[in-house]
Order: sequence, then structure tokens, then C-alpha cells
Amino acid sequence: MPVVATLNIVGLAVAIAVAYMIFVQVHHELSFNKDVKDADRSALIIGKGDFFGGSQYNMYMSRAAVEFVKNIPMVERVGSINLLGKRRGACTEDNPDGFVLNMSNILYPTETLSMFGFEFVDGDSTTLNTYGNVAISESAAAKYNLKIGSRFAHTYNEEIPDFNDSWNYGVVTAVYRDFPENCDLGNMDAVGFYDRNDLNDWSNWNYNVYVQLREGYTFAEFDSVLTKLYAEEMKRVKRDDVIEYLTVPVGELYYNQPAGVDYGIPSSRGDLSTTISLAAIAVVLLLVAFINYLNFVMSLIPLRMCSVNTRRIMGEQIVSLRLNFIAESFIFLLVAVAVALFIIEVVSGSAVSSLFITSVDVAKHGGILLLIIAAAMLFAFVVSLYPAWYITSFSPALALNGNFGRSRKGAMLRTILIGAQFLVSFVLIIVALFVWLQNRYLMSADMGFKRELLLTVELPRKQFFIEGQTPRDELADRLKAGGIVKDVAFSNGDFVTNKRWTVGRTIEGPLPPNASADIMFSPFQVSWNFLQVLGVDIVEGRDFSPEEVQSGNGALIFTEAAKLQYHLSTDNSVAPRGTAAPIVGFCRNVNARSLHEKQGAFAFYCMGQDEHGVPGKKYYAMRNLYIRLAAGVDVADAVAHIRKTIIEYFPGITPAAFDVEFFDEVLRRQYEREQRLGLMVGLFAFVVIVVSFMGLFAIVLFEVKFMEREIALRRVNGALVSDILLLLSSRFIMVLVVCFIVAAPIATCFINVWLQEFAYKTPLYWWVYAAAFLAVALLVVGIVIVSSWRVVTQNPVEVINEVQ
Amino acid sequence: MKLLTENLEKVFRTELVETVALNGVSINVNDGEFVAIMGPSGCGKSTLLNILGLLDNPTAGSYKIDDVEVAGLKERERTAYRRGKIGFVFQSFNLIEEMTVEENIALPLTYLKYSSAERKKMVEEVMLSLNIAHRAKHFPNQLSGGQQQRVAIARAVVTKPGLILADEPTGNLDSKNGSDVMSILSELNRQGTTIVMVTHSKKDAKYANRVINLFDGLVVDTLEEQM
Repeated sequence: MPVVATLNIVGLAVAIAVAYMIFVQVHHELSFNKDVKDADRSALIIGKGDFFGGSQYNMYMSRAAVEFVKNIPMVERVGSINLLGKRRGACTEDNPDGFVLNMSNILYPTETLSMFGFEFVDGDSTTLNTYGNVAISESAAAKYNLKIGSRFAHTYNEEIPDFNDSWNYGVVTAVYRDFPENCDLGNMDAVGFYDRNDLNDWSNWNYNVYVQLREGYTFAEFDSVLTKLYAEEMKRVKRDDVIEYLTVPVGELYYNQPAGVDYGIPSSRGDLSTTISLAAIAVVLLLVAFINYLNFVMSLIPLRMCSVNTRRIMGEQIVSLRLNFIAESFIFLLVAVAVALFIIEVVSGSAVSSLFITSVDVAKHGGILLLIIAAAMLFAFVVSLYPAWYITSFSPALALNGNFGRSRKGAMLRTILIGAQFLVSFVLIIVALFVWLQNRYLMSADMGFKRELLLTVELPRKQFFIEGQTPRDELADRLKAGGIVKDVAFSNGDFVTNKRWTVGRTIEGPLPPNASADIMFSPFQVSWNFLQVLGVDIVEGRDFSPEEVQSGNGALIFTEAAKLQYHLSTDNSVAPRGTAAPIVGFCRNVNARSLHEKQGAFAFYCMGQDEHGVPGKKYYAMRNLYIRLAAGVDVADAVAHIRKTIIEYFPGITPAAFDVEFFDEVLRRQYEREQRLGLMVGLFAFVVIVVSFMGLFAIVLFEVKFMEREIALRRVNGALVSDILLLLSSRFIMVLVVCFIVAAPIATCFINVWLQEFAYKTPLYWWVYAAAFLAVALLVVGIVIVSSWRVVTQNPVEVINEVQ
Repeated sequence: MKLLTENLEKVFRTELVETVALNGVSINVNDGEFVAIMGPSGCGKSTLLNILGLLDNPTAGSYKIDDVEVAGLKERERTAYRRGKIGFVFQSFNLIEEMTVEENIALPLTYLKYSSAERKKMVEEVMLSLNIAHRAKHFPNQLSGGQQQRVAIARAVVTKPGLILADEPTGNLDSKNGSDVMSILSELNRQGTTIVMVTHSKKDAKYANRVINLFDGLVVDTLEEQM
């Protein structure tokens, strides 16, 4: 009895603690960006059309378009900000090693700051209309010791062009109050004014535009008006842009993001089905714990039948007995809540808390905890009603004489409750296994190149702003000196990214009859040795050579998939930029986007003299290094060597300005959300299963205790220990089979919905189902054996004699 | 079935106490014999019966069934040995409350791997012979004490064992039902079944061919009964 009670309290406590932590996360996600001022009145403008020859949605508008929107009568304000910000290295005289600021440029500072509800606590916000002046959050100011008048220099990733020296540093002129944690602006350290384009420029699309409407207008009306007026304006300025506009309110951006967007939506992104699934897991976990508790209380009934009815015979009122039962449940629950608080405290200070995207500290989310405790109290009340009524529903005389220990009604109820737990366990195990398989698939899928011993570095753009030449070859030679680094290749941007531009072009040269000359593809600018260093196999034609760099137009190597799609040959050429480059070969297909997206036609582009290394063409500086290490080198030594070489090569570069990472780390970051989900589902499934099986353990202990005499009699009549264990297990295995038949399609349904997020996904292997069944069945049999062993193996004579 | 014990000892040990239940018991039971074991409470009657039924092992001494030494067999071996060969009848019937009459009777057959049809046939036969067929679908708590004991006897004999061990089979019955039960046991004995019965009742002991008296774990005398 004490063991079983303890198991139940621990189960309840774990359930309450984990449910709290899940609900903190769920609340964080459901309320994301909702607390931003007028979150339902401010909306991001999204264009839908045929962009860059491929993508369907575009998040950017040209400077002229922004001005155009601003002049639509129903518009109260227009603002431009990148809610995700951009990480930029910065340093001050006090802190020369530097730090990283998450910063966004803003257009129309007064309107933008007002639209999003920036509250200033120091300085003057009107100064932000001047280039270089920056408003900084209170927390960033404190963290980096910045105050009004502090100057900091940008150390890397400067988006700000260098046409004016003043752009190389920022001056803090205002400090704003921190935004809540659960909004994009909560992660922003600083904002600064930026406006580089001509007001009449319809071509350069650089701005994320938010609009706030005057009272009485809806976004649907605005979408319709903007689409119509914009089409008229395009006719007027003689452009052929055909765009249908739609707006997404700031408060809905987290969940309501169209898929397949070039350069992505400038807001954090969540998946509503995942959030709902997590909430469902929390509810299920609480239910499982209370099912255990109900089972526990029901199991106690036979033991208490005698005492309860003796009290009735002695004159105690039924109401009083029932109230005692209910009070007992509440006390039980309060103990569980106390243990739960302890668990939360331990978890919030441990590595497990990193699983959650927000802090699980009770002090920050007391309301959620109180709600869960209230819900648990309600559960406890409801759960205590049935046994309280049941135990007091018999005639006292009958109950004192009768044997209610294993009444068919009670046994049936317990079987149903245990069945519910099995069902939940099956669903969670199957879902967790498929999430794990999908994550494994994401990380281990053949990407078309060799990932072993591959490191990447993204160097500060400034370091490559060297007129007339790039320092690549010399840097590569220095890195290779000493034999640690085998080879180095360069590219413009990350190799595997969703932020990849697609271009629509015309194929030049011979094509099969009826083949279209139009092509949509993503050109990826690389150094001539990129394919060689990354181990991308050429399947037709040849690899790039150093001559490509000296040529006028450079050269292209397409993937096999692109070749088949567009009937390409090495006799064709395509112009990734201004002039046509010959296709010199075809390579194996590579995964250059996340597996969420279709890969599309892709080409490596080795630029020639017309585009590359020419004064004034600094935009194409290839500052992403892909470094293949020599086999057998010490990784820590290699990273130290690379860092030292880069710092020596670029005097003045700060250590914080760049990272040296394994390619797999970069890849893992790309699938961070999936990895976290996998861990969470796995962990929660584990918790639910542990709590369920703690309950099962307790129930079997009781069942076996009640069956003690039957077991002894069976043994006297010839049953072996194994026969009894088989008998006990088979009762649960039958329930398992039924539950599995129900659970398998439910789990498949869940996982199908989740896998819809991915263009490339793991197959639904049959063995996952078999493994789930086997795992649960083995657990059940194991629990039955462990919990019944003492009773089953004791001398049956002793049991029979005890009864007699 | 022939039983022979020599210097059988059984000692129960706890941390504090050592209790000698049997202190060198030597008895023999011939094939087809009906033997009653009598003696005051605590003299070791039930302990001896349990050892004879292979429900327990002696601490020392020899026990042979049909000339085969069975003292010291492992639990699994004892179970295998007694399956179908030894039937038990208890004072408090020891029926399983959740099973019907026919399910209770069929229980030993389950472990002898009889088919369902065979079990059904054998159970029906024994229920008819003991006049309880009309109660086949009833649960034990729906039966009188006499009927429950008939069911217990039916369960003991359904496998047609060579030996029936009865531990105070009439102890919980009125005299009418007690007599009926003893008549049934007598009839089984007449049909060739060896019976060893522990009893306090001299009346019941008269049904036996022989009475063995125990006192403090020792056989004090053996009397041939005359029915």
C-alpha cells in the first residue's frame, strides 16, 4: 500500500509538472506577438505572384511601392522593420573583442516605432531619422554597457553599404523598454534608420512592409484595393508585375505563414498542429495520471469495504463518508502538487529546460500553474466521486460478508482505464518513433556531397571589400599550410539554405524539338574547386577549372535533375546574371535547400572576369568558406588553426566576428525546430509511458494480491509459475491487442499531418508499429512478472492455510 | 497409488522460533487404501498431508510414491508429478469465486492440455456422477456448502487421480451434507482411488480402512477401522 500510494503520488506530480511545462510553452506560442501594440490592426503585406521565376510569395516591396502604399487613403500608417532582426557583430572601445547585436533597420522611424508600440525610457526617439543613430533595448544596454552617446563599430555582416564612413559605426541615441519575451521584438537588441533606395525605384525590393488601417476598414478590403490600385499603377509606370496582395496581422504571423517563400517570412514561425499536439499530450498526461489514481482508489475499495460499512453500521452518515473520500483525494493531490513544484524547480535549473523555448520558472508563469492546479483539483474531485459513491452503495450487512475484491464491474472498469493508457502509450510511441526517423532522415539523407570532416566559416563581409581582388587564394594557401586543412572552397552564401534566389532565364543553344527555352533555376556562386572540395560527383561533361575564373562569363554546372527537367546539354548556355555562361557539365543531385522544400533546378556558377573580382563588383564577394580537413587530424587543433590563421590574416577582426562550425552543426540548426519537437515528443512520450506503467505496476500489485488464493489454488491444481505468469499477462495482452488496433490508425493520422510539412519524408515503415507493440507488450509482461513474482512463487499451501 | 514415508521431518524456521511440525514420521499407504489421519490441532496432520500431496517438501526423511523417491523434488518437478495424479479436497472448499462451477471443475484439466471438447465431456461426466450438473453455470457463492464441497470433490476427481488428499472435508458442513461427502469419498475409494484424509471427526474416520494418530509430530498409533 505505501509503495503503491507513493507511485501514484509521484505519477501525479510528474504529470502536473510536465503539464505545467508544456502549457507554459503552449501559452508562449499561442500568444506569440499577440501582446504587440495593435497586433490585430497591424499587418505584414505579402505579395502573391510569379516571383523570380519560381516562388509564389514575396515578403518584400520596392521603395516606390512602399511610398505608393503609404498614399492609399485607408492607410493610417506604414512601417518597415525586419521583426527577426539580423545578428551583427559590434564592438566598443570598452569591449574590443566584440559582441553580437540582433538589430533591424527601420524605415519611417516615427511611424514604425509608434505602430509597434516602442516605449522610450532614455534619449530622444526623433533622432532615429538620422543615419547611424540607433535605439537600443534596456536589456541590451545593460548587457553590453551601452548608454546614450555610446559608439559601437560594426564588425561583421554589415548590411550597411560603405558609401559613407559613418555607416561603419552606430551611436546610441535612445533606449527603449524591453518587449515581452513572447514576441519577435522581445529578441531585438536595437533598431536603426535605413533608407538607401530612390523613392521612384520599383526594381529593388528590400522592405518588409507593415500597414495599419484607419478605423472601419478591414484587411480584406485593403488587400482588394491594394491589388487593384497596384495593377493600375503598374500599367502607368509600364511594368509587368502581376501581384495579388494579402495581409497577415502581426498577431497571426507566428502560425499563418505561407510555405515556399523566398528568403522566408520575417517573423518567428510555429506550427499550430504541433502546438495543439503538445497541449493534447499535456492533457493526456494528466488524464493518465488520474486514471492511475482512479484505478488506485478503486483497487482499495475491497480493502476498505469492511471498515466503511462497519462505520455505517455504527451510525456514520453516507454523506460524511463520501466527503471523507473527496477530502482524501484533495490531500493526496496537494502532496502531489508539492512534489510537482519541486520537480519544476529542479528542471528549470537543469539542461532539460533548454528543450523549451521559454523559461519554465514558476515565478514567471504562476497563473498557468494555478490553472493547472485548479484543473487537477477538479479532476481529483470528479475522480473521487465514483469510488465514494460506489463504496457506499452496498447494503452494509452484505458488504461486510461479501467479496467485492474482484467484482466483474470493478474489473471491467479497471480494464477500460488501463486500456486507455495503453492506447495513449501506443500512439505516443509510434509518433515519437516516426518523428525520430524523420529527424534522422533529415540529418542523414544523402545530400549529394561528402559531409565528413567538413567545416564552414562565414567571414565578415567587410574583409572581402578589397578593391580589385579577393583574398581567397592567399587565405586558402595559409589555411592549407601545415597539412591540417586538406582544401578550401568558397561560396557566396550558405550552400544549404532556404534563402536562395531563383531566377527565370532563357536557354541558349540547341534544344530538342518542342522543348521550352525558359528555365527557372537557382544559381549558386562558388569558387572553381567547390565541387571537388565538397565531393560532388560530375556525371557528365567536366568540373570547373581555374580557367573559368579568367574567362569572361564563367561557367555553369547543373544537377542531373535540372538537366532532365529542361533537356539541357553541354552545348547550352544560360545567363545567371547579365551574360550567358556555358554549361560545362552536370553533377549528381544535391540537396541545397532544407528537405521541407522541393529542391528545384540548381546550378553551381563559377563566375568569370565579367562578374567576379572586378572593382565595384564587391557584392559577389564569396566569404563562405568550406574547409575539408585532412583525415585523422585533431578537430580542436584544426579549429584553433583556422581561427588563428583568419585572425592573423585579417588584422583587426574580432574573435566574435566569425564562427568555425562543422557542417553538420549548421545542418542541425536548420532543423532545430524538428530536433526540439522530436526531443519533446520523445521525452513526453517517455513520461506518459512511465506514469502509465507506474499505474499498471500498482494495479498488478493489487490484482495479484486479490488473486493470491486463486493463484495458490491453480498451483495446487497443477499450474506452473510460468502458467500463472502467462495467465496474468494474457489478460493485459488481450487489452493491448485491442488498443493497438485502435491506436495504429490514430497515430498514422497524426504523423501524416506532421509529415505534410516536409517535401521529403521518411516512409511509414511497418516495423515501427511492430516495434511499438513489442515494446509495450514486453513492458507489460515485465511489469506483470516483477510485480506478481512474490505472490506467484510463494508456497501455495501457506496462502491456502492463511485463508483457512 | 502407494505411499511410503520414512523418518519424515518438517521444521518451520523463523528468525525467532523453530517449530518442529513432523518429527520422524514413517507411514505407508497401500494402493487403494482409505487412510484417516487424526490428532489434536497443531500435531502436524495438515503438514503431513501437504508433503504427501507434493505441495511441500520435508526438511528430512524419505517419501516414495509408487516406489519413486519424491522428497526433495524441485517445485517445478513436484507440480509436474502431481498434475492429474493427485486430487485435493479442502475444508473450506477453495473454489475460485470468479469461476462458474464447470470452470472450477475444469481447472486441473487446463494444465493437462486437454482439448476444450475433451474437458467439456470430462466435466459433464463428473458433474452428473456427483449430481451437480444443474448447477454448472452457477458461481460458488450461489451454492450451499454441501454443493460447494461436491464441486471441490468433482474438481479433485475430474482427472481420475490415483490419490485424493482430503483436509477435513466435512469441517464446514452440517451432518447431512458431511455424510453425503463422506459417502462420495467412500465410493471413490471403492472404485480404486487411494484416499488420505485428515479429520477431527471420529465419525468420518470410520469411513477409512485405517486411522493414523499423530501427536507432536509423531505417529503414536495406527488403528484398523471397522466400518
